Amino acid sequence: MKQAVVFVLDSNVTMAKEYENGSSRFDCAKQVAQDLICDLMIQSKTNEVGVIVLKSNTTRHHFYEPDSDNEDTSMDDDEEIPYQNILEFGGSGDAVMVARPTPSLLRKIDSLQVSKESESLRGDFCDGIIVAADSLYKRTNKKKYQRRIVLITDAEHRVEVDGEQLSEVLNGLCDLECTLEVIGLDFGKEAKFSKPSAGEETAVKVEPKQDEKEDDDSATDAGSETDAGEDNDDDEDGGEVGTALIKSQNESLLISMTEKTGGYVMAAKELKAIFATLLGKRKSKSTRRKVDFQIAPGVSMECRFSLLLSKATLPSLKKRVVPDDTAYSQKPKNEDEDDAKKSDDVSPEDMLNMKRIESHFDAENEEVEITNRGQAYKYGSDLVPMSAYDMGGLTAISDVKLKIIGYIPNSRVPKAFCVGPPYILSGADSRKACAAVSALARGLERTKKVAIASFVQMKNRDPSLVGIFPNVSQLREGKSLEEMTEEEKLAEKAKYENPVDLIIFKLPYMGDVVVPGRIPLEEHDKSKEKVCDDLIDALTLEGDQLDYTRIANPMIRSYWKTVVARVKDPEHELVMARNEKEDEIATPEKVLEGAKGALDAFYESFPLPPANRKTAKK
Amino acid sequence: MDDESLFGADLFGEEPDWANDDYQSQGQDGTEGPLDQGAQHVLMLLDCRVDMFRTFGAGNDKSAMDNGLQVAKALLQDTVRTTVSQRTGKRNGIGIVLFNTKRQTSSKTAMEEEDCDDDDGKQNQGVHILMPLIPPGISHVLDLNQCLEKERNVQEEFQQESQENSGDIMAPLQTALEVCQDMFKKAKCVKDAFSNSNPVVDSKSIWIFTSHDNPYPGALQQMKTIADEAKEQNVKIIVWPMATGGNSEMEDVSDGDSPRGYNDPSFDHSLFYQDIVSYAPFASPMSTMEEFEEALEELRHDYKKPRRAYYGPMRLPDWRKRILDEKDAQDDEDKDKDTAIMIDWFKFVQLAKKPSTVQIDLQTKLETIKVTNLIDDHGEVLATVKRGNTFDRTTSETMQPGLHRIRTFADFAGELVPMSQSEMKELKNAASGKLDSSNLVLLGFRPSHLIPFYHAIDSAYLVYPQVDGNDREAQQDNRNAFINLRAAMIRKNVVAIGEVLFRVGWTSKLVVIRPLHELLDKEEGTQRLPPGLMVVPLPFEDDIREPELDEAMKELRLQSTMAEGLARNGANLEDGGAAPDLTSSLSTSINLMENTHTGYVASEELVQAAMDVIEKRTVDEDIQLGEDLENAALQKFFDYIEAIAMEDPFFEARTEFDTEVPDEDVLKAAGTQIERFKILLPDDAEKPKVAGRKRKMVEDDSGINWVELYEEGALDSCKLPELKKYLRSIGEKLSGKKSDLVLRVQEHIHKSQKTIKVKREI
Repeated sequence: MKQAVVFVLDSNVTMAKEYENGSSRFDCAKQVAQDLICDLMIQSKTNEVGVIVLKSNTTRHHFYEPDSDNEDTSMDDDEEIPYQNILEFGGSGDAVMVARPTPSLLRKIDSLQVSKESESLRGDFCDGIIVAADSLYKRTNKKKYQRRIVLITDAEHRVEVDGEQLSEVLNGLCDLECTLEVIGLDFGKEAKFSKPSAGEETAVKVEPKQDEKEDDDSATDAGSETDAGEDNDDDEDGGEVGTALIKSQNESLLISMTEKTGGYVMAAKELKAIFATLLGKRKSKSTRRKVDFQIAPGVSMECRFSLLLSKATLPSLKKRVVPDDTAYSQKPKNEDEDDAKKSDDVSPEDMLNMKRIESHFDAENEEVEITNRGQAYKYGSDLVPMSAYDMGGLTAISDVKLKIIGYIPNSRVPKAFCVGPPYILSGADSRKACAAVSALARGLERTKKVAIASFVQMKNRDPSLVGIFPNVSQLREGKSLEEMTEEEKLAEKAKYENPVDLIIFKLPYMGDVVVPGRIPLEEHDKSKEKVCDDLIDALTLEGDQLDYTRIANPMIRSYWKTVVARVKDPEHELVMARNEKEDEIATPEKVLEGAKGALDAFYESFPLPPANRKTAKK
Repeated sequence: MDDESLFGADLFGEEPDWANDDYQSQGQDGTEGPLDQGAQHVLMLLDCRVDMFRTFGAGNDKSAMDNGLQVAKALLQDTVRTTVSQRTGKRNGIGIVLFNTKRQTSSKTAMEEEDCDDDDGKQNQGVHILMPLIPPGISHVLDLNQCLEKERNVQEEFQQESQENSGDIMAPLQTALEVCQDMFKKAKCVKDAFSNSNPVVDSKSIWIFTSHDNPYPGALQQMKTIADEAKEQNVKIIVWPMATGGNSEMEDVSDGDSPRGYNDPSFDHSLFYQDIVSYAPFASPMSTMEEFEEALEELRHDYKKPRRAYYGPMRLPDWRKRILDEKDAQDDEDKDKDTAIMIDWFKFVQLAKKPSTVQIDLQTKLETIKVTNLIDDHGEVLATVKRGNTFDRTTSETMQPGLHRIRTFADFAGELVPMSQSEMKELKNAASGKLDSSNLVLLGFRPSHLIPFYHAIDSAYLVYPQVDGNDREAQQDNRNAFINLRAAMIRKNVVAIGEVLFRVGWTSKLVVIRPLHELLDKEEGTQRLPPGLMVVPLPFEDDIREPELDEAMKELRLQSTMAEGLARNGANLEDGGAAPDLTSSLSTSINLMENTHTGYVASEELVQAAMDVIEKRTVDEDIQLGEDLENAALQKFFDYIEAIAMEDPFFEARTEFDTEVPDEDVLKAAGTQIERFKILLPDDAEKPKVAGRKRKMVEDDSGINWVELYEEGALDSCKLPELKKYLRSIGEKLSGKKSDLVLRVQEHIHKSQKTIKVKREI
């Protein structure tokens, strides 16, 4: 489903506060917004984005669009202008609505500045959320969208809350199924709500940070009015205390708001932490496709199958042609010089398109016209010419279906023979299909069998041989039931012995197994067990160390990072996601240091041949 | 065409060879032979003695020679099919040589004229090349068919005349072996191991089809010398003992030296062949096609041995540091720090595919050469790319300067961002950790249960210690490290996470390395899976898809949440000192299940019914993946192609496959169980019909008196827009042809007139 996301960026003066690395909170907010927008752009061309800037010197949003000659807000008209100091833009940056983002939107975000003396400005986050909610409502109401408002703020500005209006807006957001996500810079509190409470009482999980002082009201009711600035003194110390109080109360307010709508408040200290948390949220949904699942003659039902894994790919590069050869021929030809940098004078828009025209020739270099061409199959060293009539006899006519051939013990289906990527098969929203699939999953699990089936994945294609496995958590593989205590067994049983869906892997047909015979390996050397055990212990990864489910493909990541950087600066050098300083695909330095002794002992015990770096290849 | 194919990638893919690890030598002396790489060539020697042509009688008009030719045909077809479906082995050659032929043979066929200019001399010595050693195609199958269908009379042409046997200067088999050696040497498809900088060793086999177990006792020594020479050249010699037709009326054509008659069911290898052959897989003479197919299957392991996919080092995580240390090291002692466990990679499974079609010139029936012209908007040709040209980028650009004008860009939401090919390469290199050769780097270990088996984005590989090189001691050291590390992984129940780069220029992948246990066939004792390590490519974060929750999963989650809540309550009760009441908690659980049970998750009864179906439909325990379960679609495809190639008008597609079980058989085996399962399945609530879109009624401003026209039967005279106006005014559909629209108008007026009439009557 396409997404519509409104980013609300706080440009209050407090956002200028700098971190140790020299970048400000606002830089960080801009970076987060840009990266998230890029993610949305990369995920799908149909995603839409709006941006709202709080405490802006300019007032421009979908409620109020000043004429171009009267763009600056005149303070005299204060009363008539709704939601002052709110700047809204989307699309290419000119529109004041949620629209498909373009690279110029990113550039526009990049050019945003923290407002000076914004204390006197209006446009707090409540106003921002109201404008964002309305913008989303106008653009997406009654349409299929996944809606989100992402607020990036330090929440260190006073907020005027019109309880009634805010409550109405929050209810509206619930109706829209729009979540509120708050990236709280230097927040003390955080919370996460999987679904909107919409007025009902739900267990709220508020995790106060360690250094947070005990607050009497951890969550302020959305309806109540927060007048945070009331006790604000002008002296420096008092100011800090006041700001801290404002922040704390605002945080509570935001938590109670997200509780209503569903979403989260994240307490972020720096950019890295934000991305570390946001990572893993980008797993895309798998498209479900219909399949006629034929369990037995007369027992078939419509089920859904979808890919569990699918190799992410890079888009292909676009080719353009420099109009004439002056641009490059005048420059000295240097083989090392990069093509892309040779034609600085011509913009890509002014370049020509490139077409490919295919033609066919015979051995005598005479062109063979299309009317004289036919199709053939290579059959060994010969060709078998095929007429259109002959080809007709080869068309398989079949709907998408999964037909069970029989069942075999799972010991006869070595995992090594399973060809990925796997699919998941479920009954979707049909009671009959769900019941049949779950009955089969549990039946297979209990009888320790695998269903062998023929699977036509696409209409009129040849069937593949597949194995249908119960989708049980593999936690069981580590420990057999016999090894478990009674308690563990019960827990396991409840959780994992009751699979409700099925996993499909391709299996080899007759003649497709090509693994060669190898002589059995000799018995290991008992005297060297300790060396190996120590090596494994020392190199055992813990927690999320080298967690592949959270490591992005470095090539794809580098490509997009470079592209995004070049949107802002075409001369930007390549951005490598994997470099000497940062490498996710490496043994963590700490583990490596700890394993030095064990590794040395291993090398000592087992003299190894040289690695032949240069010669080792296919 | 992508960019890589523009600048030098081989359009024809990989060199179509496979390796052969000396299958038969395994287990004989406990060591493995070297891993040969290269094509597999087979030369079939068919004996042309009289008895080879004798029919078996009793309704069987086949002879041993027919059987031999049938085996040849099966081998040809199998080789061709494998070449096509596995896209490998394009260089594999097959040749057929007849020996003990009569001295003068008739003229050569087209098939024989290729490549055999110099066998005239040999013909006179009782040897004839029926098919030269070349990669086979359909024409060769057709030629053999001619022989089998007796359109070409092999017997008449080649059968030995009995009197010719005596007084041989040189035994025809000896000549034949020499001819074979010569053919191996001269055939274009055989690669000379020493002429290439990257030597590949082709595997060569000679299969002797004969019924005679002691043909030339006097020439044994000479034969042995020749056979030894052949074996030195890596040629394997195998004898296929052939049973012949028994015909008591015919004179025994034995040369008198043989102690055995031709119809003797045994074949004594010790008499002659044991010194000639490389090994003797077949003890007794064969006569039925089943026997031959079984034999061919057995040898298939030999001649179709899969090659290793890759080879290279398996490094430990500190390898980079060690290389740095090595560079820093001052004295020579520390120099050899870049060491690793050297491994071979093998694929477990290679799914066969249908070949794709090629374009041919209909007149010559030859494949056309595809040429792609790259043209700019002004029609100017920038470059011409001819299929098969594999220049590197610099050469291409020097030869075709127009290529200099091409720029590449990344498209980002419609905006073009400069990104060159060489930059992409640079990105790829950095993303692969700047590994400069194929590598498996072990990064760490994890408890095995933490990596789910379905996190396999591609097919798995077998990793096994390398057996290359002559240094046996080094090999054993390498093997020891591998064995001990694997044993420790099993002992500690861990898997390893690693990074692998298969080839420079590709991107590296994350993999999980699992210890693999040897799997033996219980009955036959043969190896189903070798021991070693199994390497499975893991997905990156971007590759993992999140499946949508189905209703059953939602129900399950609801149940488990409630169950957890119940458990908490129970625990609270216990804390409060009250004795846990098992009965009440059980009834609560039952209530809970009943309350949350919406029928999406199978009831226990349904699961039982499913288990009964599973039990009843469990197929034969002997079924083996890879050896059973035929690819019916592919088989039918090949049969069809062959039928077209052979212009077989009587072609009938095969219909029986073990992967296509007839419904009747299934119902016969498990009809009752299936019926019960079906009855227990819940019904789906009928989905409320989505109301059709209400059409907006628009007033008809055509000014036509529709009733009048209806009565006159002149509705046809109206124009389409007018008809639509009327239909719009009554909220009817506008789709269809004019006649449909007229009919719709007619029906409506008819109805309304009827209503008016009824109303009036009332």
